[in-house]
This record gives sequence, C-alpha cells and structure tokens, in this order.
Amino acid sequence: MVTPSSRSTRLARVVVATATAVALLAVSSPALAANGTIGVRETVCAESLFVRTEPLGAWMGTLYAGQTFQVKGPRSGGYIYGFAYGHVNRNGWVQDGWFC
Amino acid sequence: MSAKVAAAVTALGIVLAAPPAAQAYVVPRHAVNICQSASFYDNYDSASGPYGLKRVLEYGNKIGHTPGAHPVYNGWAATFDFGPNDWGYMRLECIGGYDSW
Repeated sequence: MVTPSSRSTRLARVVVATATAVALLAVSSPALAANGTIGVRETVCAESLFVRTEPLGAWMGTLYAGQTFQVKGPRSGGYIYGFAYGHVNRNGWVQDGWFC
Repeated sequence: MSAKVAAAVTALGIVLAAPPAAQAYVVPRHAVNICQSASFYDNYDSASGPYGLKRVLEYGNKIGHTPGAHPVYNGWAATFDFGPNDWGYMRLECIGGYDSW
C-alpha cells in the first residue's frame, strides 16, 4: 500500500540519486579530452603525448599535461599536425583527441 | 546511482584521462651505447638544445635508433632506452653496434 509519506520518501530518494548522478558526471567531465580545433593553441590533457615526425611515424618529442600545441592541420589517420610548444618547440604530429 | 555505476563512471573517467598508447610505431634497430657514459635527455628543444636530463647511460647499455626515420638534431639523436623502455635524446656518436643483440 502506498501512503503519502512513503511516496515522498521514494521521491526524495529519486531526487538524491539524480543529483548524485549529475554531480558525478560533472566531476568526471574534465577527464573527457577533445579533438583539437584547427587554428587554436590547445592544452594537452593527457599525462604525456608523443610528438611524431608523421602520422604513426617516429618519435621526436613528448608533450606533458598542461603544455600546449598550436593546431594547424591537416588531420590524417587519427593524427593532427601542428606546432608543439613545451620543451619540444617543433612542428610535428600528435594523436588527436587529447586536448582539454 | 548505485555504487557499481559510480565505480564504472569513475573508471571511465580514469581511462579517458590516461595517456595515449606510448608504444613505438617505428620500431628502432637494436644498438648499444659505445661511449663510456652518455647523457640521456627527455626532449630536444629546438631553441635551447637537449632538455631534461633523465639518466646517464653506461657503456654497453642497450638502446635503439632507426637511422633515417628518427630525427637527429645538431648531433642529438632520438633514441630508445631499452632499460626503462622510454624515449630520449643522446649524442649520435655514442650509438653503435647496430643489430649486435
């Protein structure tokens, strides 16, 4: 039998559960890294991001979280071309999708 | 939200924040350090030279380099250290004994 008091208790539980879900999603959202935008100096969100001579090419440097990458384009095979700042200071290719 | 769902959301966040695969796509050729000791740097800054000393390699340490594929800047060669399995820069003249192991 559903009484008014038990209904309000259930409603309160639903509200709390929804609020918790929203809060958790809000907390975890900064971890969702995004693709780079051409023309934008993006910040690296990955712990480390290899800079390569070409898509799937040879390593030439490493960017770390917080360092920046000027996205120039084009894109190719999941990689994107641009200028790596930090302690790389060269043009190169990085795996796309690791920017804040 | 149940504890399982919360744990799954947290795990997803951790996975998404993890660094991308750090494997070497261009596999380096086996070589060794032929200098008595060689400084191994984290990066090569095109403005200021080698940056961030990681460690000093001893004579005979196993390393890898792919001539022609991995860049050499001003005598500093992109090199793979087969000890901790990481990349760095060391002097090109210290790389020798290709395919010796």
